[in-house]
Amino acid sequence: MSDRALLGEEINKETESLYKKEKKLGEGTYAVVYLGQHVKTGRTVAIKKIKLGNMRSGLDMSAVREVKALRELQHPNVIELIDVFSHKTNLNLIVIKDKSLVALAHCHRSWILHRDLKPNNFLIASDGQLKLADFGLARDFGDISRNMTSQTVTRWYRAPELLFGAKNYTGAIDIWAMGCIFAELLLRAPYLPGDSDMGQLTTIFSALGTPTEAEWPGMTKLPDYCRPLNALFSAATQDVLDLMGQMLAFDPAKRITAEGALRHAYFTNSPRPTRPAKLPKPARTIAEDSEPRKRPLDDAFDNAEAPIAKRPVDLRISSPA
Amino acid sequence: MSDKRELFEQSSQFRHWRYTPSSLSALRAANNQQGIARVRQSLLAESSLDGNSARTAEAENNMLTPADELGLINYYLQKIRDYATVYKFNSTVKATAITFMKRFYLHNVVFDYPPKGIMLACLYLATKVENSFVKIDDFTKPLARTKVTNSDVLDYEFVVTQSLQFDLAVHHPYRPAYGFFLDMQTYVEDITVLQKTYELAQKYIDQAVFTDLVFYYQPAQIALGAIKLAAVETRCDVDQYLTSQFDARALESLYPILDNVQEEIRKYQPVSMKEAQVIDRKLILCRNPEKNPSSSLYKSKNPEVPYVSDSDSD
Repeated sequence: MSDRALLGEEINKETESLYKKEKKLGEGTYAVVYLGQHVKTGRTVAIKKIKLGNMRSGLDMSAVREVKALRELQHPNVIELIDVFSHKTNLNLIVIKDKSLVALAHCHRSWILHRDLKPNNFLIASDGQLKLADFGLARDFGDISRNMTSQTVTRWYRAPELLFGAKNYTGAIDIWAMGCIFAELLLRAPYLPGDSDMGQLTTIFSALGTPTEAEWPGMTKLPDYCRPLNALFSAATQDVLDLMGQMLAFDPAKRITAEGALRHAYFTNSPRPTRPAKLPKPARTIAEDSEPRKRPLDDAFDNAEAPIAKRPVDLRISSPA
Repeated sequence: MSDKRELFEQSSQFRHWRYTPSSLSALRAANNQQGIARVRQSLLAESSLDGNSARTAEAENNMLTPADELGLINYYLQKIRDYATVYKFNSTVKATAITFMKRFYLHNVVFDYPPKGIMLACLYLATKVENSFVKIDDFTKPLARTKVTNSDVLDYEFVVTQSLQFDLAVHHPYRPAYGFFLDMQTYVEDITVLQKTYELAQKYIDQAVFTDLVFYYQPAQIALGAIKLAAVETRCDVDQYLTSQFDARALESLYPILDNVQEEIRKYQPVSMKEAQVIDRKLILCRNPEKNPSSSLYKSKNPEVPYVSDSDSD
């Protein structure tokens, strides 16, 4: 007890002294990511420095949300926040480098909505494990008396209830995004790339058909062209189409949950998923680049990680015999 | 049930902010001692700077005890509630702000940071954490009469978040109390009595968040204690519900906890303005000049104020 600092400011200084920054990996609009080291153990870390100096209202909401969510979530498939410290007016998050649905089920079980699921926010660690990251839009949910914004989630992954302006929603919005990512993995191209908020709805309806009143009670029936799933995904098995269909159900109440999706036959029927360590990895890593490149934050999070979007990995490639 | 318990055990509240009554008072006493030592040191440094040594003697006669510190903190916790009511913030924002301030003073002392300033920083941070964000100008507007500026609030934001060790999520008894209320409807015959019990229990929870119960017990335990306490008054039978939910062994460990919760809520006494004023007068004389922007020591060490918030245009 006596050798441990008691004061908040001293604890912060102690934390800061544990790490040293080595080189810049990338820069985004509100943060810079550095490659760093835990001084004593030599463990490689990523340091995400959030610039707050010119925020008029102090600590900004996305920093508050990210720190709040990550301090609570401890799971092998959620990016690990080891430490946080502030220096002058910067906030520094020390992170390490799922199975996506496992990570999402864990978030929902902890009553946290991610609200920005897209391929760029899934990182692959050096051991092949998938890590869910970027909790800047995350918030807790479940309080029906409080409204939430419908202006969330990157457009291509935004659920129809959000596009219709719903202020009360659930984990179903994260599942919709996961359904889009699932389809993107098979197509190797974004599944529902709308060009505007209204165009997004049109894109969804032309791909999945216009929802009927029976499918989604409360929605008025509109006549429109309907293309069934299996015409586009000609090589997909029935399990794939069934799970994707359930993840992309129009009525959020009927959409499968993360826990439910994990129990789907797709994950148990043959072919079995490849073990993380056997998954193909990009040949060149960011750390090997001599020049730090200016890229979006999510793309430059760790020396040994690459975003799925850049190199789509089909999670079901069977392992080499 | 076991699943839910595991979840709470993962929370930062469970992992970092649990104390026993004795560990809590030992921590506060140690903080107080170190705080006094720092005040002595800074006063010495200041008197060598400006030759005024009378302050040291004055401070020695007015050093705050751990009980004094707690009294002043508790008074300003009540102020948080009053302010939050003016702003119409909900009970979660209030309770989070109160818990933030209680946690802040486990890693700080009143000598360094008088609660009057910390109170607003805690409340403002709580609005962000609980999804009730207001712009800083709107937050300080109602305080214009008291000459509170934006930087009076924001300057403390970093020391507050550092002292909270960036654990921003706080769980309160309100939600579990609502869950118990819904659950109990199957077991309690008279719903109007149950409704009354629930409403009264919420008032008891409002009191409980001021106490150290938040460091001793889980939110659901505090909620159940508050319901039990309310049920005595409304003559509502909740024991049938408890025996249907827990086996004899679980009840054996639960009942003493619920008794303690009820006892602490019953014992809760707000601090009067008069009491607070007495402590406040002592604090003026024993405040640590190193952290006091109007002292000559502070000015010699911090030639200019670093915060830029007020001058920039967003």
